Amino acid sequence: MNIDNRLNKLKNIHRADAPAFLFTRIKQQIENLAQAPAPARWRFAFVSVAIVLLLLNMAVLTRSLKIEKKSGVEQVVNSMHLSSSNDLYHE
Amino acid sequence: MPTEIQFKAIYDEYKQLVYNLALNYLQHTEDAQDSTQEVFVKVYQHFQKHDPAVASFKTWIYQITINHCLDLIRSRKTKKRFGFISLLFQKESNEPIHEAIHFDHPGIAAEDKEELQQLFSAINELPENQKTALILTRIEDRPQKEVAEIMNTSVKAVESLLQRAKQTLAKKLKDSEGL
Repeated sequence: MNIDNRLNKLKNIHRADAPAFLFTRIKQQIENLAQAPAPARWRFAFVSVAIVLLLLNMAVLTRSLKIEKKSGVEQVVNSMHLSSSNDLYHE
Repeated sequence: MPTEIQFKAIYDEYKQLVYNLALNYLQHTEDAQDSTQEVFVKVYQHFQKHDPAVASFKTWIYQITINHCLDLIRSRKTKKRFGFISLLFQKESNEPIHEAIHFDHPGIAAEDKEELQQLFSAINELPENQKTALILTRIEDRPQKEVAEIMNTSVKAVESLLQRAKQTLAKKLKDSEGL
């Protein structure tokens, strides 16, 4: 049989009616979506980003504290004209 | 987001289009019902994204439905391909890894069922764009200009897709009858 004749058989397909309950199901799914919590992947991403930010903050804080401590001691030594050398005798 | 009245009007206008198009792609009543549901949820969620300057609302609905059905078919094929591997890791489960898809199209009369089932099994093996061009022109009866708009291509390209689809189908059907 010619391919066009065979394809013409597709014209015999009737339009089927969508079931009446479908709209209720769709409405239900839309309502559930509105109440649904964020997906697990998003929650995981949010927690990961929060942890990275926290660690970065802590790293920056500890570094700046160390720098401040060091510079504070040096300031006192300089203002009091103290020697910071451990050598007892100057050659 | 559309209002409830707007959404109901959209659903009433396009439910037959979406359901029948899904049936023609999937040839399975339950899958077509589930796909219709998913398509309308997507329409609701992305209603604001529709740009009338780019495509008419009907074209947009066609595109969402086609993309959804093709995604579903693709994911089924992938599941089938990796079915053996997943079987190795799911020894305890009694659920079937992938259910056999039965041909179940409520729009096909009993006397045509056998012949159209054979034709659809050949159509299902066509590349996605050839299958889409064929379904839209031959079953949905859309003019080639509209098909080109839906497929985001030219009328010439649609003609060429149809020509190639016919050649492939003729060969496949001849081979299957020869066996």
